[in-house]
Amino acid sequence: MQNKRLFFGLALLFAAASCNTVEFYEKQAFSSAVMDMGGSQTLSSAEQKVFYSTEGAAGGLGSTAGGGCGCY
Amino acid sequence: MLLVRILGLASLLSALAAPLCAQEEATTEANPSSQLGAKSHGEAGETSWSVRLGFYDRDDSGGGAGNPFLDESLTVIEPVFIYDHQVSADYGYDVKLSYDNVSSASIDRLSEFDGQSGASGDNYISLDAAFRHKLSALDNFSWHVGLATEYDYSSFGLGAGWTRTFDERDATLSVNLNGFYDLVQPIRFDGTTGADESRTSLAGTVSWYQILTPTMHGEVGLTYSAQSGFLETAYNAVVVETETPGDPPNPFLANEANEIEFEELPDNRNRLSLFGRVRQQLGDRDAIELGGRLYDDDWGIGAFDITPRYLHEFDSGLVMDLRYRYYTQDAADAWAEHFSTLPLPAERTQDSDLGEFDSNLFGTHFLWGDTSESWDVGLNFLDRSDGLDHIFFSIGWTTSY
Repeated sequence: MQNKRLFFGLALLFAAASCNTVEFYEKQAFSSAVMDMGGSQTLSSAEQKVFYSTEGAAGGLGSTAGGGCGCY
Repeated sequence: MLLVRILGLASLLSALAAPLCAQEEATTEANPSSQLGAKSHGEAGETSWSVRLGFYDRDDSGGGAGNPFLDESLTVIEPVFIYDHQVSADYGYDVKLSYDNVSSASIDRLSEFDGQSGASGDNYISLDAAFRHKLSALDNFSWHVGLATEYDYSSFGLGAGWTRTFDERDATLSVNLNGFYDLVQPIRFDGTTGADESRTSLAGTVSWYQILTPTMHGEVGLTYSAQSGFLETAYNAVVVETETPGDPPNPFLANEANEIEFEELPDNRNRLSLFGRVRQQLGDRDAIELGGRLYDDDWGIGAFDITPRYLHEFDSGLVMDLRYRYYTQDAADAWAEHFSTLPLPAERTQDSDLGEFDSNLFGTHFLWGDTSESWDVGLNFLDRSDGLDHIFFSIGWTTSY
């Protein structure tokens, strides 16, 4: 229940933010290398594999949360 | 305790996003640079090759850390190759081949048998092909199919993802579904084998990427997964330490325990993960990010992690990414470090990864290059409260033409 509240709280926060658009000429910051949230897919999946193979939790950024094993 | 963490994370994210103010609406193109969305389309004919080498090493302090009955030292070397080709403006694909060479300590403290999966050496190979389709200016669809195999294990995976960009809202919605069907040949700690077992995993992720201000963007999401079937680790065992008078001690056990039983876990597992992150630019060459995740499952594990990052771009174009990650988890209901009474619970495990612990990760990552060739190198050190520390080193290279 607490998790659901958090999720809906964050979703509402982002939904509220979506009412405000940023003009295209204000978006140059997002072309900066330090603002690239995509990063390397191979690095992300390798790191997530380490996490889900050695922790009880799984899921989230770059992780599919189950299956595929490769367990260690 | 979990509620405090949840509220803390919510407050932190709210505080970061609070500076939002009303602005005029305008049709603009969002920047869906999320890790979760379908890969964006490049120019027709564009091709890239990527190679990555990962090195993972876990230290068990001579068997003294984690599970007291196992030496859990482990080394994994993982090369990954990816070929990516954009066939047309609306269609592209990539093929990923990865290989794990796993070497670990023998578990002859439990049994003289040393041939089971992961006990002394293992090879894991996986092949995955992913296809992306541009359905419209705002919609992308992707799907993938994959196979993975070890000598006692095989897995078939299928997944699909869809993204919709909401230009007028600077946002992108992503939905991903993945399924795996795994076949496991149970080879127990003592070398006995059983009939093949199966495991089915289904996972769905929904995420929302949002440009929040001219210098801030972020994403929130939810992953739900359901697993059923054989969820134990076949070679895991539970050691009973009670000594019955007259019973001879087990010569293969360091503590002369008198009984070893297989690990037994529920046949179903439902897992829920909520996550989010926000990145803020500071000046022209600096940015900070705060990410977090809450996790809960019906095995009794609750977990939380938070990851602040700092990124800096040097004049040369080199990007430095510094990261700290705090992670904590509760133990699974079936977990105990010591079992001392018989009969054993129907569900039991001494797997240290299902126990209670927290960890601190310190990571650094450097990226450099240009659109035709790029390199990256990273090193993570993880300090775990039960002593199972590890390092993870990775180096990657990509060329595009």
